[in-house]
Amino acid sequence: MDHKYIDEFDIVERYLARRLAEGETTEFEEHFVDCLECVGRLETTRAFVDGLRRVASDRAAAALDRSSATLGNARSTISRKAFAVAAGVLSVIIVAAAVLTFAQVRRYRAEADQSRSASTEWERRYEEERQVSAAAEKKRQESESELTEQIAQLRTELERKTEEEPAKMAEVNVPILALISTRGTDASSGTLNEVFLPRSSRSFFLSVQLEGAREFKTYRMTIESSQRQPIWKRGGFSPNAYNSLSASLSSTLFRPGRYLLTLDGIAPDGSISIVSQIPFHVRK
Amino acid sequence: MSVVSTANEELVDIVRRITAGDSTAEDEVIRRYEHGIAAIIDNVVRNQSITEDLCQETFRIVIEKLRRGDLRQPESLSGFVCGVARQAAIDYIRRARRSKLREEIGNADHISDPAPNQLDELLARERAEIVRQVISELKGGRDREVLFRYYVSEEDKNEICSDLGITRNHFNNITYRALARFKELYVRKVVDPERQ
Repeated sequence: MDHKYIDEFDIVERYLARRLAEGETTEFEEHFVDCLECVGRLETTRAFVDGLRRVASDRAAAALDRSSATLGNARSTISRKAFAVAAGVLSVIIVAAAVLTFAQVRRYRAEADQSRSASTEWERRYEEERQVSAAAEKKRQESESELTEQIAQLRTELERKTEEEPAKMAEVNVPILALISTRGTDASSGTLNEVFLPRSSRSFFLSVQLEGAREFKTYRMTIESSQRQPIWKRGGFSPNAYNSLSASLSSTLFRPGRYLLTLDGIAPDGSISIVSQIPFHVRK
Repeated sequence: MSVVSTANEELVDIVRRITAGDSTAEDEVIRRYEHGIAAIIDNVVRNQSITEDLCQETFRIVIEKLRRGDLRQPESLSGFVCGVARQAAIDYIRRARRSKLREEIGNADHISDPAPNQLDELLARERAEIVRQVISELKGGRDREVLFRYYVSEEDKNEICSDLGITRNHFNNITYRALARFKELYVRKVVDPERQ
């Protein structure tokens, strides 16, 4: 700390008024403790300030004494002039207080208005951002449903193409497994139907001839392996004009071995009854 | 050689001599620092007689420590002296508060009287009289207002300048002239009245 700094930042006065930060106080003390010039300035300023405060205090005390004396005189010898002066001073004080209060109120109102408009501005920004966010969410949902629709379409297309593909390539000499269903036929009865599936065949036809009157409106077919593993199942079959049920099956589902076809009849009330069970043997 | 290094060398020499038992070096320390530590202590306790007592206590501690060689860095003698003075003032304030508390609960064994004595009161009145003369010599009410607002009300300098429409330079001139005149009269009437 040098004298230029001390002068520029009023260090002496601020030190005496105890308005220096702790670091600055220490630094200044370590400077002036060994600096006669600064110590002299400190002592002079302190003495002057003490004297000035004493003068101010004496003046205030004198003014108080004078006003007390004035009031005391007014009681014994009522002076209209003194009262008028006192009343005038009081009026001035009241008016000044009112003006100050009014100015204060105006300031508070202005601050309140400012706060209100700031609050309104924040609300408007919040609403804006909320709307932007809602619009973005809506757009996201629309995109999602669009994508879902596209996926469904593609899936349908794929399934259709998959179904069509084999049809496009015409297959000849497709094996046909013709079975006869007789009510009450179970797996143990009847001869084992043999089906020879060439390895080049991609599919074969299954035709089940229904014997007797049409008891059910719709039928369900289930094919299981010899280990009771479900291989294929389809419902909703209705007898054709020849009182038979037919289905096209993929050869790849069937390895060489024994299988069991179960034919269920579906009653109008939804109840299911086994019509027949027909074993067959696949050879390749 | 720089001023700082010369000053440091002086301090190192003083400390070395005190440690060696040189009593003139001890007097030198007292002369060098007495006004400074008085200012530090008085800024805390604000009482002249107590300041004098605490100054003596400070020097007693400082000289004892220097004789024992407790000051490891002799070039920091000024900071060391400041620290001892500050601590002496703070310790006094703490003792005074404890004493006041015991007094309040009727348990005091010693009550220190912080009120100024007659000499202090006399000096205070002399100072006030000199200040009145300085103020009466001021040319305008604005200069008086600057002094009262800055030193008595402790208002901010920039605010005063702004209110009164004066520059900082003008402000500094007012305070400088008032202080200079005060010092002149004070030295003439109080410090060295025989010259008058």
